Amino acid sequence: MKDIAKLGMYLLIVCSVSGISLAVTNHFTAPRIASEMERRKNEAMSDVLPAASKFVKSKTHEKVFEGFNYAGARVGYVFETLASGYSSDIEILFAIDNEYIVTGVKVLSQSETPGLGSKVSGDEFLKQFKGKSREKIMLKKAGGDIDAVTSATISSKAVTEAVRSRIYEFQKDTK
Amino acid sequence: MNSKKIQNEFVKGLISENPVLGLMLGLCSVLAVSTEVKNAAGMGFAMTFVLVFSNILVSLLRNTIPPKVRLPVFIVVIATFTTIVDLLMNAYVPEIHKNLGIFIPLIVVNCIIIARAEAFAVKNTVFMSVIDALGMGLGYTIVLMIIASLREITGNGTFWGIKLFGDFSPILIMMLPPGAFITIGLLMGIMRRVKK
Amino acid sequence: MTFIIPLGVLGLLGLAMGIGLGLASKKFAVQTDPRLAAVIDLLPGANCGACGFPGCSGYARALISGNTKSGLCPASGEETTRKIAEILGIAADVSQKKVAVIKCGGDISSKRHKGAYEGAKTCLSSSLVGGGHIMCDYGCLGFGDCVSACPFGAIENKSGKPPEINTEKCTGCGICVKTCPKNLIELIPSNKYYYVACSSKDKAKIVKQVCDSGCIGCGICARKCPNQALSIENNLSKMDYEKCLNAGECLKACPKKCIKTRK
Repeated sequence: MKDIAKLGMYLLIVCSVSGISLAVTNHFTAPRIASEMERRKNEAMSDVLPAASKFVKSKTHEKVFEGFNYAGARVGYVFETLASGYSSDIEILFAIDNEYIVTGVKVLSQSETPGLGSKVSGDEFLKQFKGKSREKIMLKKAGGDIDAVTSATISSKAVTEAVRSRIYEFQKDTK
Repeated sequence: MNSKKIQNEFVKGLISENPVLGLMLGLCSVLAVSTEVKNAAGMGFAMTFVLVFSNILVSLLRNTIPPKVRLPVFIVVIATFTTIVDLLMNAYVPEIHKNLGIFIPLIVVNCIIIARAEAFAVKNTVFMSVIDALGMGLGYTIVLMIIASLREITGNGTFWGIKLFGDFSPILIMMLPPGAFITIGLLMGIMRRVKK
Repeated sequence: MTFIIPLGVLGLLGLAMGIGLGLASKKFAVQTDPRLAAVIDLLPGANCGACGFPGCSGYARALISGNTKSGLCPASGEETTRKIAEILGIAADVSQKKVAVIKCGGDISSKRHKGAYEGAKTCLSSSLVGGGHIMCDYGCLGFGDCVSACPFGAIENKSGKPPEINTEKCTGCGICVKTCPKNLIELIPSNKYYYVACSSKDKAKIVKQVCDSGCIGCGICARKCPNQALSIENNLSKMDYEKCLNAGECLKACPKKCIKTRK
């Protein structure tokens, strides 16, 4: 009986110490991590909608930011959307102008195959979306204008479809 | 404790008992992370960090651990340090953290770390455990970076993200698992020759 | 507050796991005979297999279950065997300790090679190629298979000559005897010192061609031995250790100097 209690106590102590150290580390890193994510998001939003200088969360739609220029006029919308990639969820940030033409696409996070699917985060793939309307945003194999990343069709398709369907939903909603 | 013994303990992790090419441990992470040199460096650092600190802690506790809970204690220690390194990397090197993705948490089940805890740290002093961890960690990192260099240069035409050649059609298989296996196999062969 | 949750969750998990493991180990405990650990501790731990059991723990288990007698381990001394017998309450079967001798004393340097041998450097491999790369068909091949096989490190390689056995370290386990592909090694009683360092069954004329210290079967040793312990069989001198008195006359008498002493 006593040995069982001893085992329990030993693991209790080890795990408690572990818990405390993790809590402490988290306490010190969480603000940095959170602010980095925030900064990235703002930077990313400016990246995808360069004409805008200020972003305001939309009151009418979820996960949509409206972008305004210095003069206060709305120049476009920024969307956060999630694509189901090959091996992970791909967090996408993209923007369209008032005519529903894409002004930029950015990948915030993904865990696709390093070196292959992960290239959907790259400029080479994403720059293709600029200036295209929803109809053209499909893989070339399906009749659209987007070249998939070599050997990463699933990841490429996921991103493409996510952007396209989001624009479609939004267009339906606002027309 | 003479310095020759210390030197031997350290060097064994580099050549004679290199964890990847000699002991053949932790291969899963090696194959997956060796597509880019930058990622390899990050992974090597993270793994060495966890290895050193878990060796220290296991060695400190070695005379107190009840035999029946030996494994849970090792795993908790290793998992704690892995989580710490995950949080730290996310906070301070977010790009590498993003690229390594799930392989940072997978350090918990990296065979090398639990093997060194079981085979060495639990039977040796803290100082020697650190030396062993540094040797093993360095051995792992060096091999990982060699493989990553080969794979990134031939499979992507870049090194550390910097484009090397102008017009270059990459050997795609090097970026895929078969390329990794072939590279590691060749390196193991070379290592055997060198050891002879 | 943010510290309480991790502390609490992990702490409780640890406690639960620890208690769980404790209960499990009690429920699934395997009953072992306490004497087993003591016997295994006394045995040399070299796992040489000379006793005929799988390793020292195999022999210990057989002893505990009463299936075998006590003196089977040549590597433990008389004292150890007596201690083991005492623990188990059985008779101490102490037999004469033996040591190994290599019955070849010839020059096996390149002078005595049939030709250049390019194969794997083991005695076994060489012996498969026409009986070996040494001119004498019965001689030691010198690659040290016995040296590697000895679990006690009692055999040492000597270049140009057969290996040397360190009598202090030799426990008489007999693994080298089984290893030598030319069957050159014999276990002799540890209180006997003289042995014929030759295994050649060739006639004198041939022996003289291939070795300077080979036995020619002249029989002088047999005649000089005060107790007739030596006899000539197949052109080779053979020692009967029951009769040997350690007189050493044979060594003095041998014209080819092929009788040696362990001393």
